Amino acid sequence: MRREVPIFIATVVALYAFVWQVSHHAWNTGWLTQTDLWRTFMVQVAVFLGAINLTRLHANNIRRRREHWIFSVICIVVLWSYMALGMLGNGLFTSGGNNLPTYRWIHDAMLVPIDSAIFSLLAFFIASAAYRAFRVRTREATAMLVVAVIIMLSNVPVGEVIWSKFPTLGQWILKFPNAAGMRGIQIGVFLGTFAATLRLFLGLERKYLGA
Amino acid sequence: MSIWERFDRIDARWIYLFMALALILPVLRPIGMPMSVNPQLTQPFYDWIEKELPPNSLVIMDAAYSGGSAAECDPQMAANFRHLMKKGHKVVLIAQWELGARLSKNVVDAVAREVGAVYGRDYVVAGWRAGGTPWMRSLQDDFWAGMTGVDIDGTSLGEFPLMQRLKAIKPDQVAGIIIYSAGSPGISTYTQFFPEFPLYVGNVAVQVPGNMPLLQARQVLGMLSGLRGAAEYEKLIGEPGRATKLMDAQSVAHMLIIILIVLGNIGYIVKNRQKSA
Amino acid sequence: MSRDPKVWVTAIMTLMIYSYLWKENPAYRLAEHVFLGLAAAHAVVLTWDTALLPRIHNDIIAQGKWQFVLFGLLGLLMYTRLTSAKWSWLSRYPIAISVGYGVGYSLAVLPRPWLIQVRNSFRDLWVVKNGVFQAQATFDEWVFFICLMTVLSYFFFTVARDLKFVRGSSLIGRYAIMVALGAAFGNTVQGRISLFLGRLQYLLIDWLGFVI
Repeated sequence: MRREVPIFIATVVALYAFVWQVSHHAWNTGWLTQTDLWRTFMVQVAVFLGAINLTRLHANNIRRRREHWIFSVICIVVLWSYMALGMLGNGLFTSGGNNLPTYRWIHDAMLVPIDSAIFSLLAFFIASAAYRAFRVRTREATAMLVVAVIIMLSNVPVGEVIWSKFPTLGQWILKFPNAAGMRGIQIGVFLGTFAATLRLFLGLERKYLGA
Repeated sequence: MSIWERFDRIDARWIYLFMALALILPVLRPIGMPMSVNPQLTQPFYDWIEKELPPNSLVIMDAAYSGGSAAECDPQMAANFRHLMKKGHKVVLIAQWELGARLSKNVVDAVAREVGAVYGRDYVVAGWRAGGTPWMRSLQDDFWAGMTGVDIDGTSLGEFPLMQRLKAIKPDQVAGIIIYSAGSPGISTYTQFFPEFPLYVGNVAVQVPGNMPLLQARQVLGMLSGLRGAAEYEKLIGEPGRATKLMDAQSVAHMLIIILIVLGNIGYIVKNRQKSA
Repeated sequence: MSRDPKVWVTAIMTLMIYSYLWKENPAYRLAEHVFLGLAAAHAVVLTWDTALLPRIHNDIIAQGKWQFVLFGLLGLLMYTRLTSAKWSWLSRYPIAISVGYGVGYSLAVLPRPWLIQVRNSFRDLWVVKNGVFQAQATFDEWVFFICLMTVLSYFFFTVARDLKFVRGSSLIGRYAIMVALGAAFGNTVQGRISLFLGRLQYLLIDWLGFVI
């Protein structure tokens, strides 16, 4: 009941989605759109789970006075106050909260730049990695390094100034050897993904239902 | 201790500082080195909007990125949107990433102010909805229902004249799709569920090599490769913007990284020789 | 220098993150935790604002579409995950529906784009255009063909590896993969640098007010 019924439901739903998606006749009934919307609404109702889980994680840090617990307090305060602002700022059960000037101000001045800045740290790490890790240890590594340098030079105007054919060479590498190599990798990835999906479909993989 | 050994043990923070300082000057004083346009990635993208799209076409744009990749995707979207508006086309913007929804609205609103495009008549930002691919799939049958009948600000879609033209993402209503992609969910949503549409991609540079097979098989018809792609597009539409101004700094940064690779390897080879001697 | 408080907050947040380059410190950690809170809240607010409220108002209340209520209740069962084992199994029902739905779709739509890729791999290895043999195009197609086949042979484990032909082929395949990875690295450099330049441009021009 607790395990078998959900697995049975998953199989029936998977069969339904598969048949309806591949059958054009079924498509025309408009049923798939209806069930898409219902299933989407079901997922949307559960959207608070992420916020609650994050809160539980950080509440645990605070309770146990783990190192840096004070930042957990800040995280929880920011999370719930920003949520309250967006959901209640325009009045309960009235939409448009995410368009409030204060809400947008915080979005533009804090959320976006922190996100950008965190990712831009990678520029520094790649410079350091280029110096420390990108070594001609083997022939394969040398081939990789040479190609990387050609691609780098083909990507920037200075490469063109050094040798006018760098962009053409870079494009050729991307279009032929690179595309073929990537396709070979992706064909393998597809076979793996499809096999994993099939395992889910056949009920051989049940970890998603939890312990 | 030899000079190479000293180099090898250098604190990474010196490299960080050196890189940051080296980039300040070219950001502030770009000299504008000449730059060619990629004939297989950028040019077909431009030609599609410039020559192939029928007048007054409706194009779907998808912001599948976040602030982390905004430095690459924002200028691409701004350049494409400017071009589309100038040619009199219409745009409906959706977002497969929640952090891309409002971010992309800021980008197109800023361009719209400059070119005089009107919200609701020339473009609409519908935004992001939780739900993954089933949500996206529902848009091909009923865009309004999939979007719960409102735009990102909660305004009813019925209030926008443009939305009378878009009831579903179907070929008779939508001329093509442009996705700005920084990862997953992203391009595969369209190659799997919307294969009948001309698909163009604004890519973060990291993804371009992996997406070349899609371009080869014509599942994707044109791509912009990171900031360079945006700069090339700005050049094509004759409106050099932020991306163009950063290309000299890109050159300096790339040369710096190549020098670091060379220095690191000289040190490595010298050390190996010393060891074996 | 800018007088806009929004620009100042943006700049300070950026510098707080960059302080990590010196070493991990409270300023970085503060910005990191603020981001975590804001990002998680933003997804909830957007869903509440543009999905749940309009659906409840327009479909459930105005049109009486009861199926949404049913699926909404199923969605609420997800929250039993947060309770004890006595109730948490109930969350398996919405998860099963969600996963099943995704699996059905995947089985239906995954093969098509892949088959297009496979079809595109059958290529003309003797290119003639308007009756004239194209040496460059023929060379390109052979490069593509050899790289693809050797990479596939590198991942092909059905045949014994000790065969000379298989060994040689997979060796070339390894080089082809290295070329692809080298291209990926080269482009990664462009991408990462762009992200930093975007921030640098903001700090120098929008915040400090340099004019270019």
